[in-house]
This record gives sequence, structure tokens and C-alpha cells, in this order.
Amino acid sequence: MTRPGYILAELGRNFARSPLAAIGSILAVTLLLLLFDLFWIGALSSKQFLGKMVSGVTMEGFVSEEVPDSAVGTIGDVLADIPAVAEFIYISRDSARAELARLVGTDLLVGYDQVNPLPRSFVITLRDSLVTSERLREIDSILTATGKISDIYYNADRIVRSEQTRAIIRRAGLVLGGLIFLSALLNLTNSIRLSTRTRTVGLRQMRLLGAGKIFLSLPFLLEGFLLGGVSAALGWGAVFYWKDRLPLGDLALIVPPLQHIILACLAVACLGLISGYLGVRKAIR
Amino acid sequence: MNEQTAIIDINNLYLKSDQGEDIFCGLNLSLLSGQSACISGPAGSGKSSLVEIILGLRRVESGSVEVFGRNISPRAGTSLLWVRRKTGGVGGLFGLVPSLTVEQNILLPLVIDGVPHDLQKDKLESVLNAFTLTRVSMQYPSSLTRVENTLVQFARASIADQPLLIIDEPSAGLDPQTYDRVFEYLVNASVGGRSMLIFSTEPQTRQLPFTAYKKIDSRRLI
Repeated sequence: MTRPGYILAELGRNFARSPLAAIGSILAVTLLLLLFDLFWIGALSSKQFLGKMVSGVTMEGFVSEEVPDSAVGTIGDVLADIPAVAEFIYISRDSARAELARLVGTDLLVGYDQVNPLPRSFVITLRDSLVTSERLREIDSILTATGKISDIYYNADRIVRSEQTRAIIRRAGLVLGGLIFLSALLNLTNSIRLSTRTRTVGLRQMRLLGAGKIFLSLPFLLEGFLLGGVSAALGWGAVFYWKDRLPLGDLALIVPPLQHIILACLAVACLGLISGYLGVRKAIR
Repeated sequence: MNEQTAIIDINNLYLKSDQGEDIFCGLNLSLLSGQSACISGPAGSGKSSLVEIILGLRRVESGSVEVFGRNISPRAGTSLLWVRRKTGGVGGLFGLVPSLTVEQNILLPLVIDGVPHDLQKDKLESVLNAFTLTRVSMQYPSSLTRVENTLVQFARASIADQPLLIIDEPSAGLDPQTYDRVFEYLVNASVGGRSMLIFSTEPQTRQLPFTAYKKIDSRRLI
């Protein structure tokens, strides 16, 4: 029997000694993590929905009447320098008249050929990834600072509401995630502690024979790692099993990418490792 | 002739019980390599406490405790592990690991020491034969008789060939024939150069070579 052999055999014995306790622990942690997985999916799906809500947000800046047509180009230059601006279109008085005629179905400005009263404007499309209420205010103030724009219109309310919803989801995710991870940590720690209780005599004997703390604790650390990892994987297994079986209609669920899922499983496994340490700490003192 | 090094060197040891009563007052014990000591004393005289001190399980009031040249205390850390690996034990504090088979229990000191598997196998066979434990090698301690349990502990102490062997009541629970075999083992170990610290309630009637006979009296060794 080699050292690694002993550690693996001991790990097997830990599970074999009380399989029901191990299964119970795995199921409890799986359910906790499943709750977190579902929240994660919910958060991603709502993020996509909110993203769609704010995508294609445009601003329209109206050029001041006193600005001559020849000076309008400088506003375009300012807009081109703003990173959040994806593109912008200049609407001249004539274009505005044509658009109005298209919308109404008839040219309402017949007879106003010399003094077209419609304002000139810039329709600004923003990059989806950079749309925030703060950025919109920033662009607003840049354009206002030019002194050539009289009014700026955009749907600030929709963006602010979307941001508020995201912030609530993020906060809820942090709280829920924290609680779930704490519960999983305590559950696994308790399971490992029970496992060490049944082995107090053996651990003491091995300490007397000169076994080091790392050697003694490794089977329990691995036990925690496995319990955590298996629970996390089972949670995601359940998600993938039910995802295509539930009649969700048009509701599109966004599942995190596989790399993120693997990382999450590894994180829970590491949480199990910490639980293993916390569980065995007293027994090997 | 090899220079003899001190295996155990205890000087002016003072120890109190949890209730504040004196257990040792100025106890001295020196054991050179290859030498052994049989220490007798009635129950409660401090034999187990002395073992606990040597193994670093107990803190002393004052005095110095050196085992294999290293200062020993519960906080000695790696020195403590090193000393324990060089110390075999039978009886008293020492017992078997309930979750391991006889074979695994015997091999434990080698596993802890990281001895390669092939070497373990050769040693195991000879030790199992020497203590006639082959029949029970795959059994767990709970199914062993008291005699078998003691023999497994001797086998475990024998396989790693540690330079120091601590034995608490070597004859406890053994029938005369088995004790004869154990005594023969102790003689061989002593002749082979292992240092032994043997504790018993009654003074030992059979003499071991290279062994000093002491008893705990008035909280000192005499």
C-alpha cells in the first residue's frame, strides 16, 4: 500500500462507511445548487430580454435654428469622436419634409418651399453594449456643450428601468448565491465532520505513528471536493434534462456557456475542499 | 564500537496533574542508543504520563525533554512527527486502527514513511510469519482476540524497525506461551540494538539484556 493508494482507499472507505449520509449530503447540496443554477439561467434570460429592450436606442439631437447649414458638419465630427456612438444620420430640412410626407401620406408643406419650418436633426444610434443612462447623459452634455444643438430626445426612462431591474437581479443573485454557497459549505462541512467522528480512534493512532496533518486530511479534502463537484454536476444534469422537456412555449431560456458551467462546478468542488478542511481540522489537531 | 547517542534525555522534569497534584518532581531519565529501560510503578504513578510526554502529547511544568536529540513538546511540529515515526509502540496509548485490516495496520508505519510497495511486501510476509498472523491478516481488529491484537501491535512495531520501542505492559492479556514468544522478540530486539522503554505495574521478573530496571517512587525514577 503506497501513500496515494492509502489516501484513495481511505476516500473509498469514507463513502462506503456511510453511503446514505453521503447520498443525503449530495442530494441536499444538489438541490441548493439547482436553485442557484435556475436563478443563474433566469438572470441570463432576463438580461437578454432587457438587452433587447434597450437595443437600438436612438437619440435625436435637433440643430439650433441659428446654426447655418455650413456649420452642421462640425457636429458630425463631434459625434464621430464619441465611442458609444455606432452611427449617426443627418436629417436635413428636406429629408425631414420627405419623411413627414411618407408618414402622413401627403406633403403638408406645399407652399413652404422657401421657408421649410422643420428642424434639422441628427439621429444617433448607440452601440448596444455601451448603452447606459450615464453614457446617454454624457452624450447629451457633449452635444449641448457644442452650442449648436437646441434639444435632445431619447427614451431615458426605458434605459433607467432596465438598469434598475438588472441591479436588483444582480443584488438578489449575490445574496442568494452567498446564502446558497454558505449553506452548501455548512452542509458539506457537517458531513465531513460526521465522517471524521467515526474515525477518531484511527486518526489518533495514526498521529501517534507520525502521520502528518496533510496525509491524514487529504482523504477528507478529496471527499469534500468530490461531494461538491458531483453535487454541482448533478444540478446541471437536472437542468439540461428538464430544459427541453418543460413546455416553456416561446420563453427562451439562456443557459450559461459550457466553460462557465465547468468553472462553476470546479468552484463548488473547491468549496467542498474548504469544507473538507473545516470538517477535519479539529480531528487532526 | 559506534559512539552511543542519546535516544531519550529527560532532565529535572516537573509535571502536575490537571487537579494540580505533583506527578513528577525532578524526574531524570537517560537512554542511550541500544540501551533499554524497564520502568515499573503502581497504577497512577505516572507511567502513562511519561509516555505522553515522550510522544509530545503533554506539556510539562518545567525541565527538558529531548528525544533523538530534539526538544519535545506538544508544539514541536515537524520534530514531533519525526520522533513519532522513529518510535514504535505497543499497548497503552498505542492501539490498532479499527477501519484497517491487520495487514494494513502492520504496514501503516511504512506507508506513513513512504516506503515503496515492493519493500513493504517482503517485510510484511516475514513479520506475519514471525508473529503467526497470516491466518488473520485480512481481518479487522474488532474480530481479533486480545492476544492477536497485542501480537499485531508487536508486528507493527517490528516491521518498521524503529530505533525506539515503547511497550506498555508487555505481558498484559498474554498467555505464558505467547509471552515467551514476545519475550524472545524483546530479547532479539535488544540484542539487535533497538532501545526499548518498557512500562509495567509489577517489576519484570525476566531479565532483558542491556536493560536498566527502574521504578517510579516518590515522583522520581530510582
